[in-house]
Amino acid sequence: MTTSVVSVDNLRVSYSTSRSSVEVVRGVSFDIAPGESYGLVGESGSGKSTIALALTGHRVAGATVTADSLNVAGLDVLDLSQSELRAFRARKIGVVYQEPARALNPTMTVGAQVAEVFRLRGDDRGLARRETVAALDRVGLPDPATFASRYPHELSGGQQQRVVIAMALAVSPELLILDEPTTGLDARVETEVMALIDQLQIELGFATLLISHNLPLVAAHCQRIGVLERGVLVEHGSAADVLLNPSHAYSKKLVAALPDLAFASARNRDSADETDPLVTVTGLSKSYGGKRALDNVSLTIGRNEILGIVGQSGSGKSTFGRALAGLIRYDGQVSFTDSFERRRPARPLVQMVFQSPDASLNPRRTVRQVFARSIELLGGTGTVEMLAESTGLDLALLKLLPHELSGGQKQRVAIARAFAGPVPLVICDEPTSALDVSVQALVLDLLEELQERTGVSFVFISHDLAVVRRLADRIGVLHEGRLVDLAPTEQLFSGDVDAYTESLIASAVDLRARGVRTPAVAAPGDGWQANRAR
Amino acid sequence: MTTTSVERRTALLGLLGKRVVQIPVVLLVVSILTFWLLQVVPGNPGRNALGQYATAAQVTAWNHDNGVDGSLVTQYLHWIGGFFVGDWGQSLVYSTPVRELVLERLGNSLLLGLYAFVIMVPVAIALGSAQAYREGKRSDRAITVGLLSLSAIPEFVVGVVLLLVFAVWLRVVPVQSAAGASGDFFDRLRVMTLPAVVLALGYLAVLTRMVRSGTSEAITSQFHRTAVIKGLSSATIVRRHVIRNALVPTLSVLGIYLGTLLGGSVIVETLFSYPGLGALMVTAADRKDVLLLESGVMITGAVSLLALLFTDICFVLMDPRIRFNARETN
Amino acid sequence: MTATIPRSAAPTAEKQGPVTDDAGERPSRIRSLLKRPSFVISVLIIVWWVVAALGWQIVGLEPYAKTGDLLASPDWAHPFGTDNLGRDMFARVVAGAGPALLVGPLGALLATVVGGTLGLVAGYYRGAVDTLMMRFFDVILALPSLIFLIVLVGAFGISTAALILIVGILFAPGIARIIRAATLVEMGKSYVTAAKLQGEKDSRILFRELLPNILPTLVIQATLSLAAAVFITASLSFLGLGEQPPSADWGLAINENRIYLQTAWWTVVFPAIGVASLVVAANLIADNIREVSR
Repeated sequence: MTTSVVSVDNLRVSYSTSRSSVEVVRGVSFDIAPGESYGLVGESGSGKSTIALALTGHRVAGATVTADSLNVAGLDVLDLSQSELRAFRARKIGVVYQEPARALNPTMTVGAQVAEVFRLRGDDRGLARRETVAALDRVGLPDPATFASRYPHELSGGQQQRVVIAMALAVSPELLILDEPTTGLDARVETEVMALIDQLQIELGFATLLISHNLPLVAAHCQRIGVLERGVLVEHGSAADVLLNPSHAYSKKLVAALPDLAFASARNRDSADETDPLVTVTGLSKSYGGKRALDNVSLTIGRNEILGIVGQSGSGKSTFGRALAGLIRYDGQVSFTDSFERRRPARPLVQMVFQSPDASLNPRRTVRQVFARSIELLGGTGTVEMLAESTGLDLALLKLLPHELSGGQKQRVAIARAFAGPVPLVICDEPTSALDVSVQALVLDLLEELQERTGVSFVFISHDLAVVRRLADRIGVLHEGRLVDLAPTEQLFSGDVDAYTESLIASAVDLRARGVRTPAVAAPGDGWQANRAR
Repeated sequence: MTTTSVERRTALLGLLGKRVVQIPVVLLVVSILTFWLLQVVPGNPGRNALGQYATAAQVTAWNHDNGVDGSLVTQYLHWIGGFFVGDWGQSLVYSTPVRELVLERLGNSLLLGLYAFVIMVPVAIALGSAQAYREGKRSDRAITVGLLSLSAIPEFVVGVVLLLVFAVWLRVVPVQSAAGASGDFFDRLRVMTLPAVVLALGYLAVLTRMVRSGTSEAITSQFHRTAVIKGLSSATIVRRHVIRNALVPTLSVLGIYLGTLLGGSVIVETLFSYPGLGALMVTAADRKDVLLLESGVMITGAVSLLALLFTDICFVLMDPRIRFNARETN
Repeated sequence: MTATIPRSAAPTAEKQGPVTDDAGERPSRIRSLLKRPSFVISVLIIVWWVVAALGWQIVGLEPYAKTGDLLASPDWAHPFGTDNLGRDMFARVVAGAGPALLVGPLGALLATVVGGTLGLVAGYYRGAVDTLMMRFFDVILALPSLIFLIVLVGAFGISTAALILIVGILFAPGIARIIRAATLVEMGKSYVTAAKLQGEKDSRILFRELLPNILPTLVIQATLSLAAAVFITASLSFLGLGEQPPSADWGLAINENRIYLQTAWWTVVFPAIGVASLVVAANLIADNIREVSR
């Protein structure tokens, strides 16, 4: 007990308003040994961030925190006075947050923000400045002396997160809390940031608490994992155990829902035929204010094909989708096969499914209204009820407005809307990235099923290679507006590819492979993949 | 260190350059608009100026004397040309050169506006930040409703009530502020206090609301939480992490208000018989003194735009993220 | 070729009219408004002034005749006292609701319709017209509004029709900007993109998809501009640029009687309460709607 950095026993946190009280953390207990990495996994609303805040002694207005024991770095956090609490925060812990852009004060230079921590320790101005430069240097920021005088908005997301890490580790804390530290960062940046943390942990020997919804990420960096569901720690054990033999139903669901790079799609690929193209794209280019968003992209989309488009944010993948849908002006040509262009009456050739289910439905129209109008406009032949049934929506939902639906239900409605009539091409722009993991898998299943049933061609745009690999027949890789690779899915993963694609695959595989490697030590034979509930 | 400060200086100069081009263009549009509205819409300016009993010959002669007898373009060029070289014409009502009249009154209005501004800003900051730290409590709500009601009541009503209390019952200030233009400094201050307070009250509600939401945003922000979890003391957090961020949104409103206040406040000046530009323009509109009105509008417009420029500069200095594009399209 | 799902041939009989729009939400919003005392009281105040404006002749009030001593203080015969011409202040305050409720609401309506339409169209189509329009509004809004108002009065005169027009012109740019901003926010949401992709007509997107979502903003703006219009017309009367004697207009009454402030406060205070109650009530209604529709 005394050797633990963190010792939490029966932690309960409830938020109360004047009328009701909700318990969001319900009797959680765990320990973290010095230098150990502990991971807490759970979906949004599972209470994981609340636990992180409780460890820092931060009270949100209206929150009640109780615990049989809440010891961090040898101090009883619940028992500290205000000034003791400040000293505890300044010396013993560091926190790295989700969305570094918002965690940094926009009107202060990053140097000043890091220096504050040293000043707090009692260093004089000059010493604090030198220490700040050293701290920025340690997290791998270029030219740290100049860097210190920059403002947060002048940095990239990855650089911002490095600054936050420098700030958190400034005074060598015993515990580093990482609250979704890479959410919102690109896969490659994510890999870099996590590698930096791993390296610093070896150098400095602090313990970490990694909080994330991303199970592979946690598995790759933690020795032990706890799985949270609605404020209850439903399972905990070594990373290997949790991934290999999830015992609780919820953990099983989380593990099963993981799109896995190692698994290819079960789709029957013979049905896709790229030699009989539905759409031919030639020399597609688009510039925004002198910056090339799309640079001379040419490809074909076959009938009955799912074409995956992968790239980091800013790679031009969304612009590609919007150009294809005819939503923006572009240079170059997008032509559909003759039979479609001459259809009478003229019906839309392209439908889209968007990222955010909240914004993609008109908040003032019921599901029934949306469906009815879509069937009419797209020239569908079914009824509203049949459309709902075909997309797995309960008929009782038809009379509801979007705000009365869950995220997954909304996305189903948005998908159904695209399939209300005979449309040859559907573009899915990151359709699952705003959804929780367990819902993601169900939505992907639905898309796959709809494609098989209707033979519609898909363009599936995503930053997540694993998701794309599961669905796509062919994958195109966009980098800075250029199509750097286009190959059948399996070939892309095994074959001869562009250096950029290789690094993209490497960073994705790396993360997951490391998640595999850790358990591989505990349980020889990489059997956990085979055990996957599939 | 150097690259960023150079970038910021460039941004500041760029902004200044942009405004230096923008202000004359806007003033030009204002001049055309005003000219059109005042000379063309109401019909014959000579007839309007001299009234219905003047003979046709008198009207023609007046039009000729005032350079409003050619084509519209000639008329406009005549007027704007004169305006640029400082010949603003002769006031019909006061029979003195418009320029002297307007500039003298402008001085009075600037003084009153500045006074009101100096009263208003600290009060708004104090009330707004106090509200933000008490968000949702009864006192928060009470201040909001009170200020909202106060600003919703026309200035002349608030002014009348304050006059009743302070001038009639308590007799601490005079009923009329005409003396405000002369006398020694403290006399002027005493005379101007009531008009300035009334002026300030009108804008206090919105300003306080801005300060409140700015502060509230800053203290519920994630960087505020970062600062707390860093272990900083409350005073340091307020000084280094709250104040600046809280006041940035308020600044954009301040610019507009400063312009409005400095450009002369029609109602308050009339109510307190204060010899400012606003009151002058009411007389001009009432008596169809077109030249006076046109010059008055130009000067008011120029003052407002310069006030906006001033706040833009403050904006750049306070907020490293330069957000003019966002501001302009909103 | 592509197949349709579902495959049934039965055509859809579902045609939703605009009648059912918001059916689920609106009653609850009104109910929560009615639970707010400041909203209910404000509505009652406005109703009272509307009744007063329409009904004072029927009750037989005499706002224009000498019915008592000059500047008599309030008593049973003249609850609000009399003015310098011996006219009953109560009758004058009640009758004063007439001019206040003629120009204000009509001007506000004009401003809302014109500003709302311009804002919606500018936000939807964007492009050169939008830019030009917004730059022009920037210019107008850069001028203090009362100065602009005075110029308009100089141009159009002070007849009732001119005043309505002036109020409309004065408030339309501000409303247009706010509605445009609200439209742009909605345009950024993909349900509009989805409607475009489905081949929906522009007019239907504007009025069926966008308008219902912007409606709360528009209603708030309309109410606020009603308050501002009453405020502005009273101010104009106060400046002598609006209603002329012997009108019972509140602003005019305050201006005429303020010289008697020291001797006969009632000649000024009661019309002042008239203006203030109307303006504050309209503002509170807007504020309540804003909070409910959040």
